[in-house]
Amino acid sequence: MLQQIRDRTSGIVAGFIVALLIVPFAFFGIETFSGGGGDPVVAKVGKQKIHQSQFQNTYDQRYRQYVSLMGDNFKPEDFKADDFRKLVLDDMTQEAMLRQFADKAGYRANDAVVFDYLSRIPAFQKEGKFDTETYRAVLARQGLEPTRFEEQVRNSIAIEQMRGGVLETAFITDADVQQAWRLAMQDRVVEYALFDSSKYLAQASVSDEQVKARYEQKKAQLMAPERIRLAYVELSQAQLAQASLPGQDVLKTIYDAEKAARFTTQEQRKASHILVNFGADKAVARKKAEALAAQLKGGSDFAALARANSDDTGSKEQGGDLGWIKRGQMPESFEKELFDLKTGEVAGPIETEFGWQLIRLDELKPSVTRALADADVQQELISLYQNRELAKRFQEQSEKLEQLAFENNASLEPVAKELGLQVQTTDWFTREAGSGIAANPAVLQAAFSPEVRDDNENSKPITVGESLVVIRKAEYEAPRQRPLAEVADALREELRAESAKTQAQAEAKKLLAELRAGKPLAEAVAATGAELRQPGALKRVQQGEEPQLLRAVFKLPRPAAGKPQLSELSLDNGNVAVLALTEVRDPVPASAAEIAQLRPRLREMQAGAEFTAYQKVIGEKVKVKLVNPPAQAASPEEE
Amino acid sequence: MTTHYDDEEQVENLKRWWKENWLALAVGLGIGLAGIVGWEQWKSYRTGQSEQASQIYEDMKKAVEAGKGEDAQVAGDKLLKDFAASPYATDAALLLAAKAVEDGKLDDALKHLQWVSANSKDAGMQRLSRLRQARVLWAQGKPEDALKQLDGEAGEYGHLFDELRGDIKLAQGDRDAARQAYDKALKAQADKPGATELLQRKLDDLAVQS
Repeated sequence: MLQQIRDRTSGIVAGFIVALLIVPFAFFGIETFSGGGGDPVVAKVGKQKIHQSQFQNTYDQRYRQYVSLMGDNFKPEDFKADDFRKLVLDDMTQEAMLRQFADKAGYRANDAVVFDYLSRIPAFQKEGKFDTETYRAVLARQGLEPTRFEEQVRNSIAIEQMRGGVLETAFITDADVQQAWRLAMQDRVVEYALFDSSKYLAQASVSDEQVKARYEQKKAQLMAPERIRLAYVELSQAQLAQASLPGQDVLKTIYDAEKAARFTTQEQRKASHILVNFGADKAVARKKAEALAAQLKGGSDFAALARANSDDTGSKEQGGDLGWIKRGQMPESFEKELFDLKTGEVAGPIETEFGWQLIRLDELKPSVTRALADADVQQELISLYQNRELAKRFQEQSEKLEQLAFENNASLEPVAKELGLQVQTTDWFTREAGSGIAANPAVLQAAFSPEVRDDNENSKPITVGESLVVIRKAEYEAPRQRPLAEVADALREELRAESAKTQAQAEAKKLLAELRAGKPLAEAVAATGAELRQPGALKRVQQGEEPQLLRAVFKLPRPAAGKPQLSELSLDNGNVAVLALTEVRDPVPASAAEIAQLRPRLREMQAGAEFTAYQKVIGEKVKVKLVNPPAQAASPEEE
Repeated sequence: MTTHYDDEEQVENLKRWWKENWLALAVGLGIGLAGIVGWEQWKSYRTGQSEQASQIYEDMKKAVEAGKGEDAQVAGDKLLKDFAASPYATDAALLLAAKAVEDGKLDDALKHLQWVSANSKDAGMQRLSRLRQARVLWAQGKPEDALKQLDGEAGEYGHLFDELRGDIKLAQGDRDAARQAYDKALKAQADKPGATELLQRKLDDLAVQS
């Protein structure tokens, strides 16, 4: 069939068909027709489809950002790829949703607004102003196309404008502020009896049967986690023997190789100069420079002339002194002249990028090379040699270690024997933490890896500090049921604390009943073991009071006049309180200054709440549908 | 395979077909082209309008930030007058209203918010404007008018409408109605604690003996 079409589409007929086909492409462009074959759709947002490849690109980008943001704190084993994937997809769908809505509603940023936005980004500026070259260079470094980038910026401005339509237009009236103020500054006058449950501990008795019953009841939670002991060999540079002292011929070879970089000081020249700026007319400036040169020839003092005539504000006061100069510090034309001069000679005028310059060589420190026979040089060469030998040897041993550990997977003995290492062992440790080498996260992870834990293999070499270790399982204990004997004491304590608390609660209930019957608090408390506390007026946030107690106080109904509001409260620390709220005092209304202070935060809260609602309205109009959540999408690490 | 003879015949066929159909084809193409061109022009006209409005709106925001109230007013008025269908006009009206509240000119604020109700085509914005109108009316000491604004469909703003209803009822001294309204608002947001601290305080303050 294809062959037939190909056959027929020759000559005039072909021309005719092609002409017809061109029409739609001319208006809509090719991209409308190039569907993503083989690129599955991950989510649909309104009319838009998000493809797997788009998702993967964004994911990779965000992943790289995240990794570089976390720096050394990034731990691949803690990274939850699934959660991150969901986060990225959520952001993408939300963004697509807002963008579509903004576009449909008629939000659109014009070029001027886009440019205004770009010009305010410091990264695109040079000397405080937007610079096209810098802009293009920065984008190129990020691999971004200017037109595409600008389109993205245009879109995000439109979205920002839409968000701003709700967020930046929110307001707070004085009535709103006054209400928040009244609640925040309210005083509640309270007194309470505090039953310290530890006082009842002594009376609490717990039988063995009770302990046993509790053990049976929560047996499932009384598990000891899996733990492991490791055998390991450790290879460190410190253990390796120093290489024997090298002979002079070896030292000579190293000396020759390192002479220029290590044992030679560069030539330095101390120079002074007089600068004549080009000014408006280069030739006039040259004349002036030549006149100065003539004066110098005539015996004038260089420093005095520099002070009077140089245009270099940095050096003129020092008589043109530029200090010591090495090769590579000055423009080439300047350097060439300076390094050709003899001490006391003047060169110039020569032309440099700064202007016309007269240069004088004041002093010269020639290049010095320390001799091979120098004792310091000998010492340096020896340690250089030995360090290199050691590093080389460590490298060799490391490779052997890896190879031997791999080839003799069932034991560390061959490795230890071959490399002259000791097989050492660690203490027991769990996944939570270990000591010694097991404190190292990489060791910890390897210890519980399937290869080491289940298959009894040697691990790969792991870097621990300056050393390399290879570990294997010495002993392992799976998660196990703790026997009653092991936990009986702890359970007994737990039961006693509960019993004490129950006792305290019973006392509190008794007190509450007496108070309800009309007995005054002070009198009723005196008859109990409780402590009477009368802190007086409390605010919602109050130093020195339990937050839990404060929360309870501010949830109590208002008391009727002369009739305190009573309540019992079990605290998380085991103590029990009986509260009596006697009065609620609303504050005087906020002053203008106080209103002004509170307003911004309330406005922000209101704006946030309003926008959340508005966003939900948008969500009704532009529906997000996850078609094929990218659960198996590979992270860049796995590629 | 194609032969010379085949081609000859094809050309003959094509010529005949062309004679019979060229008019229909030309008319069809003409209508199609006109449609496409018209649509493209309409789109670019709309984009142009949006971009203009966008620029005026940005200028207006800058004027507000710089404290140039008059410039902002002029820009805002232009948007309301010439670009009433644009979302920027709605945003401008809301911004003018917020500014008016800040300056204590509640009547002006109300006027701008009413403009949004009358002109915006966005249901989300219409409801938002009703909510804000109610808050202004309440601040003006007209609780009954405010409550009237809160009647009717609230959509996704339901909990905000209810919270305000509670505020107003409380100010009127109807603690039971206020408690019910707060309770409803809180339950509607059960899935996001943390966003509701102030609302929870309002409700707690109205606690009764259980």
